[in-house]
Amino acid sequence: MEDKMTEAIVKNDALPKENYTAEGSGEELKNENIIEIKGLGKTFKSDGEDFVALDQIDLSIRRGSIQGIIGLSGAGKSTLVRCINYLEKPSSGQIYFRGQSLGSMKQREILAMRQNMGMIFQQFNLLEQRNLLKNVSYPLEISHKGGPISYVKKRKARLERAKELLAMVGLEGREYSHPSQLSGGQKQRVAIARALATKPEVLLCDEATSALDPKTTEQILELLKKINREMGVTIILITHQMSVIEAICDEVAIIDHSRIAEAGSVKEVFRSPKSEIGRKLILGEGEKETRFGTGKRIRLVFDGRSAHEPVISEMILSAKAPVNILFANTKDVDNIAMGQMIIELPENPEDEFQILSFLKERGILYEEVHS
Amino acid sequence: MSMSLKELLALFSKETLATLYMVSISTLISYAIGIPLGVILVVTEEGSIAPNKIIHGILGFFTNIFRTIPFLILLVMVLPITKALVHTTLGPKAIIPPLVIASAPYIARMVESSLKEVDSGVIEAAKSMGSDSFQIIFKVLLPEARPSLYVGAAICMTSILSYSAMAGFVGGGGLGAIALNYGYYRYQTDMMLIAVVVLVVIVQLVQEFWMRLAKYSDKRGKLN
Repeated sequence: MEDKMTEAIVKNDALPKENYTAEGSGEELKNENIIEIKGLGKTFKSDGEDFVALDQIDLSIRRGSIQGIIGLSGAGKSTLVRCINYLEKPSSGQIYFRGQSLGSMKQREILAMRQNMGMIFQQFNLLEQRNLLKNVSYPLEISHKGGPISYVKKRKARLERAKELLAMVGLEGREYSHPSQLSGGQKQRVAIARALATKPEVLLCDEATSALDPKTTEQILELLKKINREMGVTIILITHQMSVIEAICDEVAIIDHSRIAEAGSVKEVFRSPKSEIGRKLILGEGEKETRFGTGKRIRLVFDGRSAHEPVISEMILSAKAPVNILFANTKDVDNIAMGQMIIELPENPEDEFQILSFLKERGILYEEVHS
Repeated sequence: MSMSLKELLALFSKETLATLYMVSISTLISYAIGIPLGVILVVTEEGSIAPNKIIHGILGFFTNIFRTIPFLILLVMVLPITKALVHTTLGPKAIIPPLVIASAPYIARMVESSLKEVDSGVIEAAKSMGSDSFQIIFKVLLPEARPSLYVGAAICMTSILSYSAMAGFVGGGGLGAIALNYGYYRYQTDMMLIAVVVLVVIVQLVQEFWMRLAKYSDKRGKLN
């Protein structure tokens, strides 16, 4: 188990660095960082007082990945995503998009860059007075290059493309409806179609599922995953829900008090969170369960293999000591059933030793939980 | 009434047309000035798409000044301007410059408040797609605010209509002049009442027209 832990740590440390081992050109392209954030800071001034929203953020986003950014409200994650497309100008630090620093771009280049970086929002933000077709064709209208005559000529092509996009998100036949006639989930689908109209390489999602019910959230996440896998769009997803991260993200960065508390692959962070906020977010609902009981409590992590074995029963049988199960759940992380459980250990030190040695022997990750 | 029915009809139709002429021409010119002013007020505001404290401050100051001056006083104050612009200080034509000066700032504020109703999230989304300021104004702000602008037009036209009634004091003609000249100076209350009824009918029609247009054009809150 010790080995696994160290391995995880080494992996995490290696992630943000740029030195990759070249394994053929295709692999190289896949490993390329499409976005690099270096020493990013953002301070808002209000009534003479400074409010630090972001502080020394370093993050690299791999081309073709789904990068999650999670944090509690007010942690600075929405500001971070707005800095990535320069809707907010950073106070310090640099953002590189495809190797080019956004800070050195002219306004015109910033606008062109945004056409290569779609964005969707919690409140959908559709144009209420336009029908769906016109909503989706909006980015094509504004990105038009050439005179007014070719603009008029290309109208049909724009609407044709908008129709295809609407069909892709499952809204064929609703082209002439207006946003007010749609449900939340349908609105977000239109927003996704609109964000993808200019064929961007990156899609920014700012709490895109936070206004939706669990079932609709699942469908929207499924759609985002499909867009990532089939179209190769890099997705950056901001959320406060760990379940969203676990459902589709490859990588995760946890933001707390304007800083990155930890970052790494979702699997590794789930297995062994290193920060206090990381533990809290991963435990989720289980957090309050840890307040019960008086004995020593540990969090067990099961990966795909052990999740299918009756580990607990075997543990109790082998240690011949009872344990109290306080909380348990199983999640699908990266197509692997990942389980976590909080148990209260017996007070007898010998029983505790027996249980811990059993866990070590079976290679089950565990850590002590403090409430 | 000392007039025959024929004379009466001739008088009222002439002055009703004069009122409609004054109001429609002034509304058109006032909107031609008020819409750009309103747009500039919105976009130059702090935190908007083209913040500019100086322009915003100056425009805001002038729109407030002109809205504070009572119309009757403004009417007299701008007589030299009127003379310079339309070469007369009498008749319906002469009332147009003061009407425009009084209502353009008023319309600018109405347009400003309509545009401010547009959800800031929608503007942010437009920005995130790479829209420049002109595209945001012409493709997002104005179209999204359209129903609200129509409602504003109903209010603005009604107030221009009521201003125009004061034209009677400076020989501007129109229905207001009938009410004043016959009703007030000659104690012909019945003449005044007819003028008022015609004005009320015009207001109702104007109101109805814009409200229907607003409702028809609004795509929010409509069911299949």
